[in-house]
Amino acid sequence: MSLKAELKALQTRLEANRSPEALATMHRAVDDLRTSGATSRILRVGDRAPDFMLPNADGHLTDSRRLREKGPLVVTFYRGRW
Amino acid sequence: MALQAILPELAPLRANIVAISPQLPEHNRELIRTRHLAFEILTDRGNKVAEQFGLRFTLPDDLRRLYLTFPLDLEKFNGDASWTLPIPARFVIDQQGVIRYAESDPDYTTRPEPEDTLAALRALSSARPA
Repeated sequence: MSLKAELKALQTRLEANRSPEALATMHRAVDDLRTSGATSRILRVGDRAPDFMLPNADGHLTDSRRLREKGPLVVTFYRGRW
Repeated sequence: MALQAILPELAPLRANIVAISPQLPEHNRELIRTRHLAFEILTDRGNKVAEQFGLRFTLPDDLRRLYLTFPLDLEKFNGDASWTLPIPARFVIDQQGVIRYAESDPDYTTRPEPEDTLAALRALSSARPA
């Protein structure tokens, strides 16, 4: 699925059939994150990335240091499949 | 995930991808199965790693109540009572552990362009002596 199609599907899944009040609550939470200064804590280019060790879907621990020593590592933070 | 689309481009760049989510591993298994994902999704219980990247936020009370009506009980889904989530974000980390690309947006209906991630990886690759 292309990014555009994926985002459309995501928006439909999250927002379809929601009341105007529900949508307002969801959108306000996004706006609050933007305006509260919360995003200023996010690590930036040039910062040192924390290394991490976390379980994969089968419960096996994955070590970011071992991955990044092989080559560049892309890390994506994802809220959930709901 | 649209990231899947750039996987074939990663091998020559010697790059790896991992996704990180607070959801329980069973949900990651389901996602990998239904979307045929060829990269790992790691479980970050309580968004502890997300916090280290500056991404963890606590859902406001009105949003929690709304999610419960969906119904979405994040406490059950994530196996954690914190009602926190990561701000959606993507980073490229080099072999020394330094962030070379960073993109984030609190708006959950947007995602970083996979092409921008690729461009960052290619720049890293060409900067490295052969």
